[in-house]
Amino acid sequence: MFGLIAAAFGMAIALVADVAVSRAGGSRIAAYGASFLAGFAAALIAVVAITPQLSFAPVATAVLAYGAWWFIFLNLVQALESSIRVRLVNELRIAGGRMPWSVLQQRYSDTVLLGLRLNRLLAGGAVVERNGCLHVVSPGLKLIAGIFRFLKVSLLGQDSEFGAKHK
Amino acid sequence: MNGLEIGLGATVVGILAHAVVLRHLPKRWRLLALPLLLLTAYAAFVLLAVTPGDSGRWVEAFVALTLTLSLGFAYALMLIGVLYDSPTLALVKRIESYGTAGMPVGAFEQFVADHPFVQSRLDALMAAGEIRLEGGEMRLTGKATHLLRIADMYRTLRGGTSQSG
Repeated sequence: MFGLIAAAFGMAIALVADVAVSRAGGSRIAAYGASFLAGFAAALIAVVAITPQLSFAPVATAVLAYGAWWFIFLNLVQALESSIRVRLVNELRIAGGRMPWSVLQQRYSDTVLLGLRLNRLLAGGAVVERNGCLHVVSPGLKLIAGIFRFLKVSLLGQDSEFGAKHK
Repeated sequence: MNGLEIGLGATVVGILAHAVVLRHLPKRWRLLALPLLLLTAYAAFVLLAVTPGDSGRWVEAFVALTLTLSLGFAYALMLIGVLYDSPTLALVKRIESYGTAGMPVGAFEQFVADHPFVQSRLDALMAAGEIRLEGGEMRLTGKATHLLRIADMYRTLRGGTSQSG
């Protein structure tokens, strides 16, 4: 139980750190990094401070619970920032809960959305254009893409929800 | 067994069971099956490992349940990235498939045609009852707007603009 309480304290500190770094003008990456590290340190300090007889179990519980909760926080915040589904629902919300289908199709075409993603990758330097061709230069992004491809093939037997369409 | 051991054991067994059956499940059951398997594994571990007369058994069972659901939810979020393509990672994969020559910029159009993300997400929102198409209009029907309002409040706290998306 002390592990869960410590993890909850760590999450509270993580949220405060995320807000503080963001309000100070820090980038999203800096805010996430500060949030994770501050919360992790707080959870560890808390579990050591409040557990009457410190042992492996409460420390491991604190670390695992904090890790899971922070991962959930990260995914929810990121999804709310850039998920297509969230954009679609938000667009309808702004329009008063309804929108002509033709207007929604114009605003949210795959060309527009995927174009935005490509521009973001080019602006961030993860993808570069050389002699009219695009190249992925971010090792981190290549690694993540490889991991998810492995998981898709292992768990689903296919590497895309749209079927195996290749050049 | 203490709460940590029960929680970890239930999580591992539940996730392994889910991984085995995942590709055989109909699409709408792929995520729904996970909490069912996790809770079944949890119940089995609690029945086997918790001693009825133990005064601390409720605390340990609560710790185990919290760990199982927390780790399971984290796994579910990762699983969403497996079940549904990420537009960014799909683009990275397509560029990488061209090897060292790189993907010609003109091939981007074919990539878009091969990846109907918007229709896929609209289908998922309609299947979940969050939106419906009626009389040529797309209408919001679900509770997703509450989550967006919470997101707006958090975004305002962080010092950003108040609109999600």
